[in-house]
Parts: sequence; structure tokens; C-alpha cells
Amino acid sequence: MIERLAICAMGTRFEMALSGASSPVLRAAGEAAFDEVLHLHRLWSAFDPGSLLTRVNRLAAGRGVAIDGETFAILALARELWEQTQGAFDPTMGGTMRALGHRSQGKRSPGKWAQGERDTAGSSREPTPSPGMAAVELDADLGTVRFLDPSIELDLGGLAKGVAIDRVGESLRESGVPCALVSGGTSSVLAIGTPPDSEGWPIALDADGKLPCAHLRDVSLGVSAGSGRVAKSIHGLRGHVIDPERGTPAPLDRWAAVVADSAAVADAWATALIATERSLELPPDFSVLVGGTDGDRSGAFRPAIIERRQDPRGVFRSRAISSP
Amino acid sequence: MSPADRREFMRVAAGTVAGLALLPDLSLYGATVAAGHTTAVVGIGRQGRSILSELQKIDGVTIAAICDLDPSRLRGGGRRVPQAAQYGQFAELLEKSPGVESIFISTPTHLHRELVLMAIAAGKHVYCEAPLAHTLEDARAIATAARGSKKIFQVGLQGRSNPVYALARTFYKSEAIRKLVSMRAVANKKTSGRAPSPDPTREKARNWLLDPEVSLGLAGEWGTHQFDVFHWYTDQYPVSISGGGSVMAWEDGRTVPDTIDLTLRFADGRALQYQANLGSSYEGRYEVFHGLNSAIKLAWTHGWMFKEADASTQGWEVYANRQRFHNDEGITLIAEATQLAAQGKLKEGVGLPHDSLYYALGDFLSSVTDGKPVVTSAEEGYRATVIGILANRAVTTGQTVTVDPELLKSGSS
Repeated sequence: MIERLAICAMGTRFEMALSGASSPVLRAAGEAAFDEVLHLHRLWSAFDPGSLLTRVNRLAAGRGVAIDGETFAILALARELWEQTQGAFDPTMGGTMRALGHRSQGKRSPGKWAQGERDTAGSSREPTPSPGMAAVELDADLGTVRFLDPSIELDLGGLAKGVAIDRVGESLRESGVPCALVSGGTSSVLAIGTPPDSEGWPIALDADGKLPCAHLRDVSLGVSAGSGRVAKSIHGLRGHVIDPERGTPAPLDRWAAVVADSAAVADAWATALIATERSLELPPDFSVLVGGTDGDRSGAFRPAIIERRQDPRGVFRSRAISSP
Repeated sequence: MSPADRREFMRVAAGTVAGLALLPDLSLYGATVAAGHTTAVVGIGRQGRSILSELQKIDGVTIAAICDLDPSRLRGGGRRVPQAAQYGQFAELLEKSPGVESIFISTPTHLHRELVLMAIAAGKHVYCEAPLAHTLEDARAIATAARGSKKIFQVGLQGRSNPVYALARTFYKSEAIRKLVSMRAVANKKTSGRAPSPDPTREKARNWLLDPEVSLGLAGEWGTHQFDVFHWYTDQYPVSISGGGSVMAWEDGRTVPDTIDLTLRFADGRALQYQANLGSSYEGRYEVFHGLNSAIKLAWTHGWMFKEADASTQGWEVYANRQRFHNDEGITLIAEATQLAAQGKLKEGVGLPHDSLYYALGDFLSSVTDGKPVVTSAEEGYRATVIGILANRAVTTGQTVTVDPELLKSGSS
């Protein structure tokens, strides 16, 4: 029995395929999991004028803004990933995104902030380096966030979808679903268990079959491409992944695929790997493939059946168990 | 006056008409409960989680405690509000968190009565979700207790707090539609309505909406909120309700209908047609008033007026924002239009920035901290609940249910 569900949230389409004994039970589990995604969408949408993220962006440059536990957690994770990627993953570049034309879709529109607005829509400002998460102050005691640099505008687009998929995974596991494949916009994938009569969920990394097929089991895959979302400008097409050091879009032909335990972590690293020209020190448990016409940038990806196993110390880690 | 000046004048004038009733509500956008307020939320299901999210947007509100019988749901609430104390029993919350000033009750409907009575007895302000109860007896007990309380009691009928609905009501009351002809409301959402329950001992409790012993079905749980919009606009309650329902979408052993249709008939002969289903999301949720001059369509975050070709032009609507719907063109009803028009941003006001729930919670907090009159009283909540209960009775029996006017008096026996 395979039950399929889908919703539209966070500017993309989330899908899941669930395997188990009973359709009503699977659907109930899937709907509850997707409720979590919709909840996070309402919190973190950069396009929704009523979202908590919009409120933070509007107020946090002036004072500490109280945030809920989930928003605090994603910002703490963002800081951690910003540090690990040496600033290549940077969720503080909402203003740059807006200036480059990536904020014109959906319900959110630049003029929506009627009071105290920080509208840079359509500006022709010069690209500037980002101050990064160092300028985002998180106070765990007060449960607040404050921007130490007024130019900061959070955009959780590179992380929220992965966090949402991780949350879906938690919810499905809590509901007792043994086997599921969850995707967000085709760029973030979570595999739980394996489909019937298979050793892993087969995921094609490209449409024409030139790249290896990954077989996933209890791990996540994050894919990022410079051409994944583009905006037109007088200079031509501009990609949505921005190099934080230069404030300019990453080359459109660059892409990266990362396998990790967490969809959020995989997504953030995939973004970081195409955002920067620098070499980054990867966590040891990752499987990574990076490409582009500027040359093969890594050979670290191992096309393989990948699972998450518990080692003798009780630590879960990803590792290849066989070649296809 | 140049043509450009005239256009600007008319646009601002349009905003003035549209904005009058709205500024107090929308001022909560990013505002503060100045005096500070400590509260608790009881029932951390879907609605309870929404309440937590909206409360956290209002500065000055401290969610000191959350309560749910279900440990899993309590954990989920704790993830959202880590600083809040967690309780499995409401009595324990009242005992151990004495600083809590108000209680938001968002448990399953059939559990409201005991919790409301306990909260009122403990001297708390209470916000109780609608419908108030699953039986007439419980609804009456809640209304009676609320009437005897010296604290604020507000019912969660969000339409009455919704700025777009308030704006549209001023048009309705100003004869903009001229003569009401008919009414229609729809609530469609593709969802099984079933909750997962890996713990078999919690299966029945989690799926109370599918339990015919306690569930008011679509008519009671969704319809109550929408019917109340018509009560509020027309100052009338139906005199009879007929209709039916069946399981059309999810044949999983349930008996509570997932598809219903109702006719609520009023004393003046007008009727409200109501349809709801769990199988298709098409059209979503909205209410429509059809009038001789125009129709008003309300869809919770949005509202439109559709004028007839022979309706007189008042001037302001010439420059209003419009949206196309197949062969019809709707004039968008925009909250806080005065400010937006003055800034040349009228179009940016299309759609409320927040969910209706935000404004309902804001109204409650304004009543508690600033003495603002209660927007949705226990009496109004009681009457809406009675209609919801009787509508569900019409669905489950398939028979026409007469609404006894005496039943709408909460003090009746």
C-alpha cells in the first residue's frame, strides 16, 4: 500500500509517498506531518506580511524581538551552519535577494510594510558583502533575536524547507510510519526506510541520466543549483544563490548534491557549496557531488546505497554500504 | 482641480470610507499589550497550536503555561513555547501557575464545559473556542457561568473580529447591496479529518471529530463560525434548518458525514445555502450575500463587492482595486485603506496581513487590559452554538429541525 500526498507551501510543492498497511492510517499520518509544514510556512515565509519572520525583519534592527522556540531553533542552526561553512551559507541576505529581484512572487510584496518599512525593492544598489550571522544576536534567556547591523534581513529560504522536511520525518516516525519518501520542490529529499522489495529509494540526480542515481535509506539529500530559481534583470538572468562575500549570484551552471542525516543540513551545505568559490572543509560523514562547467569541483560523491546506521557508541551516521 | 488631483482625491476618499471601522483592530499589527499579560493555553491540538503562534506575535504577552492530556501534543506545544510550564491536568495548572491571568481554551468541543467552569471559578479571564459545547445543556451552563463572571469572557467566533468582515458589514448596513436576496456559504478542504494515533489508547480521544457521540460534524465545527457571520450581518437567526450528509470522500468506516448540505431558512423567507466537504479543496471557505445592487463575498483574509451594472456609482469605487473572477469583477474590500491610499499603496492592502485568529485574540486582550467592550459575548457564542448543534441534528437525522426562539435564550430552561 502506497499513499501519496502533496501540498504547496514555502513557495514550492511538498510531496510524500508513504508505505504501510492501512491507507487511512497513512493518510492521517501524512496530513499531520504536512500540518507541521504549513505551520512553519506561516512562521517563516518571507512573502507573507503576517509571518513571524516578516515581523522580525521589520523590528529586530531596533530591539530584541521575542520569537517562538522553533524560530529560535532554526536561527541557532543557521548560525551553526554559517560558522561551519565559513559564511558561505548565509541567511541574512534578504535585502540582497530583494535587490536582485527574488522577492516579487507570492503574497508578499515590497510595499506591504506600511509603517517603519525597509523597502529596497528595485534598488540599484551596489553588491555588498554580508555581515552574516555574527550580526544576529540570539538571547536564549529572553527568547529574543536582535540585529546588530541594520542592513540585515533574514531569508530562511535555504534552510526552512529542509527543516520542514526534517519535521515531517519526525512526525511520520512519531506516527509509526515505517517507510516514506518526502520531497520539497525536488531539491530536498528525505528517505525513511526502504520501499517494498528494494534496498533504497532510488533518486535520479538529473533528468538525462548522466549523473549517478542515489539509493537512499534513512538519510536526506539536498540539491542546489545556481539556475534553480532565476530572476530577469537588465544584466540577464540572475540565480537565487548569492555569494555572501561578493553579494553577487552564483554561476547559473553550478550545482551541488549533499547527503546527510538532516535535510536542513544537506540543503544548507548544498547552497554553501555553490555560493562560494572557496574550498570548504566538509563534515566527515557527508557524501557530496559538486559540478559546473568551470570544472569538476569535487569527486567526493559516492554513488551508492546509503543508509544511516548506529555505530557501537550509539551515534547515527551515514555511510555507503554498497555500490550500485 | 486637475484630473490627477481629482483621481488622488477620489482614491483617498475611497480609503476614508473603507478605513473607518478598521484602524483600532489593525493597530495591533506589531503593537504591544502595554501593561503586559500572562496567559495559558489549554488544548494543544491544531487550533491550540495556532493560538500559540498568533499570541507570540503580540508583544507583552507571556505564555506561562500550556496544558493537554495528550503527552505528545504537550511536547509539540513545548517545542513552540519552551519557556512555558507544561501540565497534563488543568487543575494542576491552576494550582501551580497562579500568575496566569487568562486562559485560552481550545480543547475538543465536548471538554469545554468543565474547563470553562473551572477557569471562571478560579477568577480567570477566558477565551473559549466555538462552538462552545456539543450539547445544549453544556452550552447553556457555559453561558450562565460566563454571565456570572466578573472577568472577561470571549467566544472564538472570529468573523466578528475580522477587519475585512467589519468593513464589509459597514457596506452591508449602508444599503450598498440594497436588498438582500439570498445567502450562500461554502467550506471545502481536502483532508481526511483523521488524526494519527500510534498509541491505541488515545485513538478515540484524538479522533473525537469522527466520534458521533461527541462530534458536531462539519455543520457544528465549521458551520457555526460561518453561520454566525450571517447572524451578525442580518441580526437574525434561522427559524428552521434542513439538509443532509453522507460519507462520500473517505470510506474508512466513519459514520460522521464528510459531505453535507443545508438550508437555513429565516423568518422573512430568505435562505442561507450551506455546503461543506472534506474531499475537495476547490473554492475553499467563503460566505456570499446576494443583493439587488451588489453581492458581497467574504473569504476570511479577503473580501469583494460585485456591483450590478445598473447600480448607481458613488464615485470612490471608480478608483478602487479590482480583481477578475471569470465574468465578474470584484471591488476589493481593503482594510486600513485610508493610510494605504494616502501612501499611494492601496493595492498593497489586498488581503489581511494576519489570520482572523490574530484579530480575535487581539480583541480579547484589548478587553482584558484596556477595558474594550467584548466583541463576541457568551450570549452570542451560545446562540451560534445552538444553531450549530441544530444544524448537525438536521444533518444526522435528515429531517427539518425547527429552531425554537426560546432555545436561543441562554437563560431558558
